Amino acid sequence: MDPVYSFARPAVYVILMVYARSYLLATGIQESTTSESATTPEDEQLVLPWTARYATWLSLLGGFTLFLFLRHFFTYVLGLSPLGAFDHVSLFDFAKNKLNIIGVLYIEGIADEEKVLAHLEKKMMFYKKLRSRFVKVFDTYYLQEVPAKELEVQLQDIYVRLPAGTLKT
Amino acid sequence: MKVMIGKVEDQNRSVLIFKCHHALTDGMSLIALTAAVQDVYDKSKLFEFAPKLSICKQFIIFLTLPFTIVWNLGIILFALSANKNALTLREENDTVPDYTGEKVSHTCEDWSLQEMKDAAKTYKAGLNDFILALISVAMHKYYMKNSAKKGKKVPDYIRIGLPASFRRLPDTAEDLDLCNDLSPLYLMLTMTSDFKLALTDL
Repeated sequence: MDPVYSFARPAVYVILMVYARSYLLATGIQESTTSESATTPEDEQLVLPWTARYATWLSLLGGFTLFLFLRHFFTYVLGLSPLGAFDHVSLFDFAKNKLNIIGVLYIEGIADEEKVLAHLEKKMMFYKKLRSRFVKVFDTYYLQEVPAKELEVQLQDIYVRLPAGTLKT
Repeated sequence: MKVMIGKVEDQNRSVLIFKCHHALTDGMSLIALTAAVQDVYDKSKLFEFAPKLSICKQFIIFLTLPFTIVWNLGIILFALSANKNALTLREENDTVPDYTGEKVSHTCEDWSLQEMKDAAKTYKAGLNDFILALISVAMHKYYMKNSAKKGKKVPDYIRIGLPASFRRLPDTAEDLDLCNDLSPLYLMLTMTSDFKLALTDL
């Protein structure tokens, strides 16, 4: 993942909010200056409507609402679960230096390795996150649950029984 | 994620290899996941990372949290502005030598697991403290080697950032939430050639 592009989505939010604020202010000023009631000298002082007076707060609220809407839209309509902030940080790795967690257990000889693998698969696949894959949408990574049929095929590559002679003393 | 299992040649031993990307889970979740793949999830057999605080202490922490954040940010900004003993920023006349990219390591004596457990009790240290103490001695070695060439003294300490997790373990395997939930912890690591002294300091 290229860190430079990760600023794209926040930048879009900021641009939208600035645009919304400017729009509310401009329309408010225009409305107050062209108002028919502003005929007497007392009314010459510019009285902005509430949308223009609270333009900053309204645009911030709008930006936050849009963020929540998109988040729920992606989750419930498209089935893409958003990642946490630190999950995203972990994706700032490089192709040659993957941020992997590796664990090795040196244990007593297992007679039926297939049974152990099947057990691990059954227990681990309970968790949705482990049944999902990363999908990039609008420069942001989401987790998408892999369909059952496709998962069955992929599991053969995930849970692997090493052939005899691979691990030497 | 990948799980591999295989038999070791000429031995009645097997090796179970687990590999997964950090974006899926962190160490804290992984401990619970290890327990969750067993037949019976027993939380009492797992060791807790998060300190058990009373409600009163939790409330005080909640109240002082904004000040703590500002204070920590202040320290970081001060360290960056002072440009002293920071690994990434340095001045020409600073005590920190130019980094050559040379890799230095240190190992403590060939301790058995029991000896490590005893030392952990004596120094009230965890596995991470052992690793940090080793880094402390290794960095001291590095500075001794490189500073001597340029007539600079070894820094007393370096500032490091550590990922820390303050989550609790889930009560049941079903409650397990696989995620990265970390807090950056700011620490002064003493530079010393004595492993035990570094461990005591930590």
